[in-house]
Amino acid sequence: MIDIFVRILFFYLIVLNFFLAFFILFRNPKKRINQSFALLCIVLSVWIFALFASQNLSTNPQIWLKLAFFTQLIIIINSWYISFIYPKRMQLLQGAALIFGTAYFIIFSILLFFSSFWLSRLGTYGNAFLLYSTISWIPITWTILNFRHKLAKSVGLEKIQLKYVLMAYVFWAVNANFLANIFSISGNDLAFFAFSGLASLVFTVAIFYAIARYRLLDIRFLVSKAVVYGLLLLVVTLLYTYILFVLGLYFYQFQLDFTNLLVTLSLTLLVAITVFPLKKGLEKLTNRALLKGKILTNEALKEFSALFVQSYSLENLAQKFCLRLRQTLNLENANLLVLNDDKFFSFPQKDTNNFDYKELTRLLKDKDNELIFDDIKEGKLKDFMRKRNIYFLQSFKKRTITAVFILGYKLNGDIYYDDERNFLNLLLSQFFIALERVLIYEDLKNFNQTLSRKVKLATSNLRSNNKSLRKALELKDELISVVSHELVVPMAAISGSISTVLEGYTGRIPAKSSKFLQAVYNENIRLLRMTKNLLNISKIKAGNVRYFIESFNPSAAMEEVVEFLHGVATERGVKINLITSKEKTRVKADRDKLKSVLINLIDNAIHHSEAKQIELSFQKQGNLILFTVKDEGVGIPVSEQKNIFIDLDLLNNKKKLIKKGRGLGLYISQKLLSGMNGKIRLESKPGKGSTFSFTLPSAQKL
Amino acid sequence: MAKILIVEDESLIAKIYAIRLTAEGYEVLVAEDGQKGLELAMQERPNLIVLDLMIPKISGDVVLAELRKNPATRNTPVLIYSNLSDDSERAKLKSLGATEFLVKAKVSAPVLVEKINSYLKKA
Repeated sequence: MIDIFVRILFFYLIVLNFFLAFFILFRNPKKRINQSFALLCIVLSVWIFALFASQNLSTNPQIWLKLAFFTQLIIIINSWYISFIYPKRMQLLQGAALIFGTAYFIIFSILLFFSSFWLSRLGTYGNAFLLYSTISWIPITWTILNFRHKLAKSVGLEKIQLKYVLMAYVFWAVNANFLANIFSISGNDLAFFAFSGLASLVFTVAIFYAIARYRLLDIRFLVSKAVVYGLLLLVVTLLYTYILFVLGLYFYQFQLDFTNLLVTLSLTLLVAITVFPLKKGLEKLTNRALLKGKILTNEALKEFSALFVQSYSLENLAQKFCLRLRQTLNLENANLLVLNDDKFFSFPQKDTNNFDYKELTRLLKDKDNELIFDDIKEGKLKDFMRKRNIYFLQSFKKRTITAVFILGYKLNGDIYYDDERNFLNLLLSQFFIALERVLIYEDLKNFNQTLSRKVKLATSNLRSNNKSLRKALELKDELISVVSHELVVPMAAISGSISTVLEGYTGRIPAKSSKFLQAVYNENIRLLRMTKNLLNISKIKAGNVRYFIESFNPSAAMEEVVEFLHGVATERGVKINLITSKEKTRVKADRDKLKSVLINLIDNAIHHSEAKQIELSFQKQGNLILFTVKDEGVGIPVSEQKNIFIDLDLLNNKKKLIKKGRGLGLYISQKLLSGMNGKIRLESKPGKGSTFSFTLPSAQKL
Repeated sequence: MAKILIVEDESLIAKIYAIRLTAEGYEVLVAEDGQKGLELAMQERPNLIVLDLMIPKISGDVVLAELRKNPATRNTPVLIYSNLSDDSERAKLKSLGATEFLVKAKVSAPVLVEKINSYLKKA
């Protein structure tokens, strides 16, 4: 039994080594390392085979033995070479090795084949053999040393790989040569062969393991699969062989000899290897022959899945889907209706099917399973399907999304087979998921677009609002201007008329009437001034004010102002004191505007301060002329002092304006002054009085 | 007695001037529109014309232009007395031949009378 086991083992080793050689070479046919390793494996196979054959093939065992020794030589040389180039080229003593190796190889080959010093006949080993087995230690040791040297230098994965290689080699080499040593002396063959086989086994397994686990020579995946495959093959063939043999022995008095074994083993191996591809081929054939047009569902699903994953637009997804579905199942037509919120889509878009989708959705209400024409009862739905040549209907609904699949008959008139129905089931639900995703994506896109559109609209609204606001403001100013103009006209007329009467042009007027008329005249003048102020504001705002700057002595202008307001002041019982400066002063300003400012300030004082005396004065202050309007009246509350020169918005501060009535005049005064390089300020203590003072540039050169 | 022609469409205003000017001793003629104004100017040959710009039928600036075309009225002093205070208008009218440009809002009736006196009582 052991004998048989050994033989089977040998057989497998040979096959395995060939496999190994194949994979190593396949991985990288150009690389030297791969080539050397592959060669090593092949030669190892040959070595095993030669050993095996020498034992079991009766015809000329000596040749086989010689072959075995020859291959052993090659193995030694090859390994030696590998130790130099794996994993990286090593220069150390390469030259010497080359010379020695060549010599070694040539000499011993000659000795082996062309002399009888090595092996004369089976069982008798000559001196050459002894010489060989002794000297072989040199290359072997050299190889081992090379590997050890490389091992010491390497790290990590490479180190582990090298360890395995070294281990494999050592085991084999020591085994093979050691035994050779012994047998060169003792002459016993049998154990030699068994142990050689073992040595080879260790080598092969180690290499395989290193490949599978540690990616030796960068082969991994292929070999792992191959290893598993190989093991499976091994088990299967052994099993079959065993069964055959047992049956044979039992039924046919089967002769148990080597050739039988070899033949059986080879056959079972062949069968085991070829069964699977054969099966696939047969399947394809039968498919084509028997099941015409039947789809390979797995592949189709894969293709559709790819489509679902890649689509980002509804049109893309749905169009392609309908088209492919039609092709895959060989249908007359495949249509799809999609309802999202209240948006309705129909695919493929080229078909002008004019589906009455409203009626369809009504008929399909609450029916969410597949509806096949043949299977449903007579009724409205069946009529609908009959009329439009629909064979398959199914609707999917989730929240706001509804998809209705409308499939027609097959081109060849067949029914939908079971596996096709299953396929559709899977496919359609997958499609619906993809549809949801695509619709969400489109909604998002639309939302994005809508959002940006709305933002644009809002911004343009804002802009146009802004424009209209500005226009409104302009109009407001224009209005004020126009109105003020219009107001001035009748006021001037009143003024003129009253003064005509007052000045006696119409005859004598009684004293009482005169008083009242004077009051009317004064109020009218005030009205006029206020209206003019309004006009001025709008002019100032529109930037339509012109300043005619001159150099003049302000005394005269101030006298004119006092004269002008004389009537108003007397009427109110207020006295205006004008204090002129003795110095010769000249101011650089617009005369009329200076007068306006003074009139504004004094008028304010007359009407709001409740003072009985107003002091008007001016004096030189360096480069400036300082004008002062002082009263000892009620003063101005501190809270109002800050903003007093700021334009009070008429609407917002109606109350304030009605109460104080100062607003416009002060604002205008400030603006007019600033246009003449003047500055105005207020000093006031409530209860004590107010002092308005402003400066204007002085005209230095006289 | 010097003759003054007032071309003004607002009767109240015209009355105010008239009463004052008459008191000053002038003969005052009043025209309510540009056409009447030109007619009166040609007929009566006044010594001075007070001309408002905003008048019906023929506007003030056209009247002025016509007055200056006619040799009879070419040299008559014409005081433009109006509410408009546009600088460009002012310049235009000056170039057309206005003697002076007075703004109603700024120049009151008595001041106007004094102005007229200064023109007519000189000569």
